[in-house]
Amino acid sequence: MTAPTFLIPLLWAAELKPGEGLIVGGWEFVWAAWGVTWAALALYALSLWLRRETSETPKELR
Amino acid sequence: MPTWTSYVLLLAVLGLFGVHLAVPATRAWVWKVLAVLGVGGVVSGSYLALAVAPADHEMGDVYRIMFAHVPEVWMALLALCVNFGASVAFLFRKDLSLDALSEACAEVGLFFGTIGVLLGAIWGRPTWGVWWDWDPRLTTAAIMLVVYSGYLALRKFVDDPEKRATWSAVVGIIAASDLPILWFSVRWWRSLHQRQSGAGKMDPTIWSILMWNTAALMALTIVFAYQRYRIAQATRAREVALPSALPPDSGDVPSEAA
Repeated sequence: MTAPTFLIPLLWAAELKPGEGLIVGGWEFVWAAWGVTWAALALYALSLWLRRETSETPKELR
Repeated sequence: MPTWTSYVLLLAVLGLFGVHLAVPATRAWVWKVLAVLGVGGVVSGSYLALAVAPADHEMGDVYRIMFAHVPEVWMALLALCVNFGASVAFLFRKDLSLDALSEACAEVGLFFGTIGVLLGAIWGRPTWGVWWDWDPRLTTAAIMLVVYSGYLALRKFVDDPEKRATWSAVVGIIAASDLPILWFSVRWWRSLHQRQSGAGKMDPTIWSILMWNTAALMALTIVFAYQRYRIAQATRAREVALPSALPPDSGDVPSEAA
C-alpha cells in the first residue's frame, strides 16, 4: 500500500533527525547571502564617508 | 540565547535614538555609539545566525539567510515610511530640512530594499528552485525598487531646490502606496512567498537571533540615515548660499553681473 502523494513530504520529514532538513546543504547560498550583506554594508558606509568629505562647507562660506 | 538580550539591544538602540532626537547637544557622539552597537551587533549577529541558530526542520541550513534578509527588508520599509512622513510634512511646512530627511531615507530604504531583494533571490534558488518569480510579494518589491530609483533620479534632474523638494514629496507620497500592498500581499493573495511569522510561531532561539540582527541593522539604519541627512543638508546649504555653484543651465545669470 502506497501513501497518498500529499503525505510524502510529511513522511520524509518524520524520518529526519533533529537538525536536518528536507533541504540538505546549501551553505554556498548562505555564505553568498551573508557575503553580499557584509560587502554592501561596508561599501555603503564607505560611500557615505567619501561623500561626507566632499560635502564640507565651501571655502566661500567658512 | 535568551530573548531578553535581544530586546535589551533593541531598547538600547531606540533609547539612544530618542536621546539623539531630544537632545541636540548629544548628536556629535550618539551616532558613534550607535555605529559601534550596529557593527558589533552585525558581527555577533552573523555568528549567532551562522553557528548558534539550530537548523530548520524543512529548510535545513539555507534558512539562515532569513537572519539577514528579513531585517533588511524591515529596515527598508521603516526608512521608506519615514520618507513618506517627511514628504507629507514638507508639503505642509515647506521646510527644506524635511526634504533632506526624505532624500536620506529614500536612499537608505532603497539600499536596504535592494540587498533584501537580492538575498531573497539567493534564498529562493535552493528553496523554490528559481531565482525569481512574479508572485505578488516579489512583484511589489520590484515595483518598490523601481519607483524609489525613479524618485532619486528625479532629484538629480531638477536643479531648483524648491521645485525639486515639492515634486519629490509628491512622488514620495505616491510611491508609498506600494508599501502596504507589499506588506499585506502575502495575506491578500495566496502566493509562493510565505506569510509573516511572529514570536509565537517560531523557536525562541531563532526569534531571539532575528531580533538581535534587527536591532543591529536598526542601529546602522539610523547611522546611515543621519549621515546621509547631513550630506543632504550640506548640499542644500551650498545650493541656497551659492547659486553660482549650480550647473550653468539651472537659471539665468543677470547680464550686469557677468
